[in-house]
Amino acid sequence: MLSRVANNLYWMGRYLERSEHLARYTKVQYFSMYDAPNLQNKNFTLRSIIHMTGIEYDTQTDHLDEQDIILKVGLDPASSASIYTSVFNTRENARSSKNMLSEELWEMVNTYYRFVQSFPDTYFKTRGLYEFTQEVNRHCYSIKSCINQTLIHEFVWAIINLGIYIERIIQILRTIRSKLTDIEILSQTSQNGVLQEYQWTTTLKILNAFDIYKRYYKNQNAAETSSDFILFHRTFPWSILYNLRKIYSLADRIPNWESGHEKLIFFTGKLYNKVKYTTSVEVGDLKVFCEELLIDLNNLNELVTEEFFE
Amino acid sequence: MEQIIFDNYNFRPNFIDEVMCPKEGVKSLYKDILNTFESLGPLDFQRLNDSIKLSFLNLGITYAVYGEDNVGVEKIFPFDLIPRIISLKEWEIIEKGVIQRNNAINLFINDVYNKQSIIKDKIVPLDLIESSKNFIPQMRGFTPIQGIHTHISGTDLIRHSDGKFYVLEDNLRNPSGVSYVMMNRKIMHRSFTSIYKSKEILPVSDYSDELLKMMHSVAVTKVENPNCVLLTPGQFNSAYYEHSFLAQEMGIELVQGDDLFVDNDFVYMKTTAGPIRVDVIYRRIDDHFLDPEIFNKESLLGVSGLMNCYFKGNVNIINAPGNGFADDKAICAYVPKIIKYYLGEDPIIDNVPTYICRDPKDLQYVLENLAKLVIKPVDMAGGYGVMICDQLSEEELGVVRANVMENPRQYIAQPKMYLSTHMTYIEEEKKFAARHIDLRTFALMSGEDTYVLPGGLTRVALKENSLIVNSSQGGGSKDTWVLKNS
Repeated sequence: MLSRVANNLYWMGRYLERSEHLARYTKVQYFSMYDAPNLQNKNFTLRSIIHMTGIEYDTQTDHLDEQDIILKVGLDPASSASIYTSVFNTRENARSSKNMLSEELWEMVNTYYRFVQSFPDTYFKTRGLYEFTQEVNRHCYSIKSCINQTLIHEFVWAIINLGIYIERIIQILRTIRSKLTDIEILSQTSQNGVLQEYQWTTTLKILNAFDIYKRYYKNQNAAETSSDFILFHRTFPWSILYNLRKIYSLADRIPNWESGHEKLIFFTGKLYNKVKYTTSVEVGDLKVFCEELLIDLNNLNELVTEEFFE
Repeated sequence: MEQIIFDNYNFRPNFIDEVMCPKEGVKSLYKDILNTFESLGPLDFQRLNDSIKLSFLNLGITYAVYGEDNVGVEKIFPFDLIPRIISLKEWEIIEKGVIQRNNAINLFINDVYNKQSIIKDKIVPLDLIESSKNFIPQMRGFTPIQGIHTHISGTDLIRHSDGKFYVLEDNLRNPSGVSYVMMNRKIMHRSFTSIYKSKEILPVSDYSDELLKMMHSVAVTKVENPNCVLLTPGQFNSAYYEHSFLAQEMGIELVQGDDLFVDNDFVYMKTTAGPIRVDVIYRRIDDHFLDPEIFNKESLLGVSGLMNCYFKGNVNIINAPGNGFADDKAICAYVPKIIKYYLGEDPIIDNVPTYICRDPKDLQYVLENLAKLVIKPVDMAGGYGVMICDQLSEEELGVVRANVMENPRQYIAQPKMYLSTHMTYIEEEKKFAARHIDLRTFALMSGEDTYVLPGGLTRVALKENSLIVNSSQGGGSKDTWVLKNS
């Protein structure tokens, strides 16, 4: 495969996954302020969204413009951190490697872009956030299903999925980090423990984990068990360990005539086993643990880039 | 149920209509299809029209139009639901005519770059050829594999008011539009299966197989599966959809200049498994951007050293560089003589009569009869620069006259041709009206034979009374059927 095309497919996967996470984070976080005990402060919620998504916005002001922030996160073509931009980049990367994709897959990606591109701004910022983010997630599920259903499970498929799983772990780690920051802020402002615990509930909801988690842990204290569930669950598709295992097995699908094959297997195997054989007690400071893993993921991204795209 | 009514159809006097006769009504070729449309009713017809438009958008068969804010708005190349139908009998004549024309032009190009017999025999003047900016001196003395220069050609035809087809122009560099032929058919199939069930229409889906077969037939190395690639300028090119479509259909790599490099006079592509040698390049970039070492030094689209590999016979390029002088509109006027010279035959399809302004006698005629003629620049495509003089003001006519007198080599003149009309659905007015059409045929010349895509691309001028069918000037397209039993 052409190196440029491999690069585009990888980034198609990354942007696709990123758009899904941005949408889910924004939706869950935004609506959490209406469900939170003792009514969570609106500015607190908006700052959390700004922090996690990385949009450019002055968070020091007391007058955060809710509609403006929502619009920047969702539909701002000028913002590199917006959902719009992620979807645009998904589509452009797919377009530049279109001849490697199935027609069904290309049509789905293109339809996804057309949905985002034609969603009306005014409706979005006043009443459309839920509908928009739900649809974004639905499009992403359909596209990922199409990737698995219509491509041969070889190099093209593996490289797109490598992008998806690397981005997913990065987004999970960024979500945890962002929520830990929220908890720190709440504890600094002497907010009650219920509200702090509620941040873990929100985290689980952002990661599609809440319902499954409840069934799995049966009413146990969220703060104690949530991080375990998200980090180490072996079979839950949004846990770090599960996704690292996926990446490791994808490395094995890269044909062995590809120059980076061996290095990728070694690196991903090492990373997977590092997390697999870490106990909850050994994690220590969760924020530091997440930061270290983010560095590992960044190194993995560099390895993939060097070995396959350059 | 309310029915679609084709009454009050606006015949244009002096023009032939492909679908209807003023006295007899619907022509026999079209009776079935119009009956089918009539049975739909206006609402279902509109729904079908909308669903087809949506299919084009979802498949990304679009081009971007940039506004002042630099944000691209994606538009579809308008597609008209009512197909153009050509009888098999008529198609067979067109097909023979196109093959004859391309064979002669191919021999002509090879002769011009080698022995120059046609020039020595004073059939075509040398200075007309060499003054074309698309003549490439570096091609002198070079014969491509199997002597083929015009692997892919597009011939634009019109039906005049005398009922005959005429050649308007040849496209011998990078004729585009074939993806629309294939997608028009595919989308019509998807949305309107019932029509296709009852008709035996010559298929167009073979084109990509024939294209790949042709590429294999002219590969430098006779290996079982030569490495063929399609070279595109990139995704911001207006024809990018077609490039990626064809690469996908053929299952070959879609490469950009940066993906290729030259080592030791061979071309390689950069892949995740290391360099892989390239045997055939179907390039969709102009000659002048192919190789910065020989042509445009600033070009980032091409591959440095490519032409050297080509001249050494280590890679084949499709179409051959340097064909452009032969589709210069002034040269086009000589094609009947070219056919006679190389094949000893009369042209099966005539040219539109053409006056070459560089010829003093022709120039005099053109200046005396300017108001009746159509003036065209010799080297522009897409309908740009075409001036239909009976539609110009005195002042505009004066400008045209001055331009022609100042640079006669740059222009040709043709009588105004009465392009036939075809029933077309006008969405804004929710009615059926006559609009002018032409036909672009696509031919593939391989080492063994020439394949002509059945039907080709019918382009339709959607503006009322407009004779310019190009998409860049508001044109659309129609599915074009060649009916087996007709």
